[in-house]
Amino acid sequence: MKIMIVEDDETIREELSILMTFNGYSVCTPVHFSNIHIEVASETPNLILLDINLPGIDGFKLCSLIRKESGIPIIFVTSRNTDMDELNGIMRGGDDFITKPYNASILLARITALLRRAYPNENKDYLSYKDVYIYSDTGKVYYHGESVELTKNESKILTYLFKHQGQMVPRADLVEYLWDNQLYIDDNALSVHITRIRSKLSQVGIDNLIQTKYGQGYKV
Amino acid sequence: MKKSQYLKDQLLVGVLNVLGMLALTLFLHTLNIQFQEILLIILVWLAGAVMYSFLDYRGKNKRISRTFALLEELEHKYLLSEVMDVPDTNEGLAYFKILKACNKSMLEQVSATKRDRKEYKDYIEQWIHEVKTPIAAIQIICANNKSELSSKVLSELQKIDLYAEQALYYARSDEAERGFLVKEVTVTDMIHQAIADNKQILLRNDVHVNVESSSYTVYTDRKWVEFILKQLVTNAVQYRNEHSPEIRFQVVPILGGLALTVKDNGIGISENDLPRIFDKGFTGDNGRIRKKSTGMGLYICKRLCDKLGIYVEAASFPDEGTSIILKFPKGSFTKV
Repeated sequence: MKIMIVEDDETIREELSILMTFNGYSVCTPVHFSNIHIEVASETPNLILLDINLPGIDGFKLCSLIRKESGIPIIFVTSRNTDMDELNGIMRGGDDFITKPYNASILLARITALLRRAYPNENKDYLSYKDVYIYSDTGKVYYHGESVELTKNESKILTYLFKHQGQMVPRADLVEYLWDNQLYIDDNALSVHITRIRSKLSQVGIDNLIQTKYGQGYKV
Repeated sequence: MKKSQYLKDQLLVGVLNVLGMLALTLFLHTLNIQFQEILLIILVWLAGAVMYSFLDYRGKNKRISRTFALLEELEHKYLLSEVMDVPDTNEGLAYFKILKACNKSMLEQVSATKRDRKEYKDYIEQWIHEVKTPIAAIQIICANNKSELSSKVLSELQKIDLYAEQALYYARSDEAERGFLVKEVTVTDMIHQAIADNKQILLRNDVHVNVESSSYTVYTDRKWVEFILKQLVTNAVQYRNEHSPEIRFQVVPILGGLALTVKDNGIGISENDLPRIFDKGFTGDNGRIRKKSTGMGLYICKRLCDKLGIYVEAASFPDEGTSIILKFPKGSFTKV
């Protein structure tokens, strides 16, 4: 998936591209803003992050220009959080509206949600590691024809570990990810959940899937 | 104007009249005019003088009363000279001109001050929007370089952001009606957003967060309520107890609306301080002894609640915790 970042602040532009690249998106970052609609046609991104305050032209006008030619998902990003701006953004055909400063995980969640809505066929609804499959919407884990159901908290934890296969996931990262998903679990509760996930997995014959690195975190 | 006051003003005229009468009496007496005839002449004089005074008093009194009544009706009293009757005497006209000149200078002052205030307010809003860009930049930089250090920076950054928003909402709260965007919002969505914006501070202080799930909605301005909730969460963290701090969010239907309770188990507020926590600049024992406090946070919250039609109240016991309750009214604004 390719994301176009239209932003005049250089630091934010660079850091946003790092963030997007790190999360598996490819990016394009135009630096001249008046001909964005032409660049949209040539670069064919899947989603646009559009700042409202740009030098020379404002994001609302750009949005109207882009909308004439394409129905590509557009997220407005602004530091002016007046309600008129938000209304204006929606009227000009923006799909979402985020105010600065933004929490990186919330920004990513909005992007994921919008992409899933706009391109429903290109999303897998499961993750796999070796022969283990986890379906994030139902929370069911399949292994060699057998299945076990995880609670919401448990399936979120396992999903995050599956997304970072082969990497050491620090406990703090896991807790933050759960908080981003509105599950307010502390460090102690995390250990309890991991224990439960292990016992549930062993019911269907999956052992030693989650490794513990003492004092660091977990790894799949 | 009382009759006695009028008579006092006319004292000199009265004395002159009496002296005139005495002089005339003496003069006529030297001319050997009969006493009865002198008395008749004096009586005619007296009758004329009394008649004049009576009419003069009635006229003046009527004008003054009418001007006072007009003054009473005016919302901006300094505009009186624009609406009052133009006096018909030369003396009155002189005073009227003086009043007009004073008012003109006053009006100029008032509009200059209004303009200055507006300019300053615009600058404050502009400044806040500008400072949001570097805040956003620091936020993404931290997200891209996760570490113990970045989470420390982020939790301080959240404070800066809240202070900036405090200033923004304070500047806006006196003309709030203009900036409302009232929509139907799920209450728990606003709660989750407020928690997300305070994530680092909550995590770093090991605060246990509990949101009772519910699907109630209200009609309100989402951003304003989120700011209020953010402020309440920040307060709860600042005045937490050190052992096992907890914040609990509860949404329950009540008679005539919906109540959102933010309850902590912190150090609480003393009975003496409790009635004044929403006052401007009030810091109380907690603010003075324990932590620095500006006394602006809850004051701004209360102002915003008043504008939004939300009833806000607090309950607290020292060492047990504090509950802040936001009551959203039902009816045209709320659907329960």
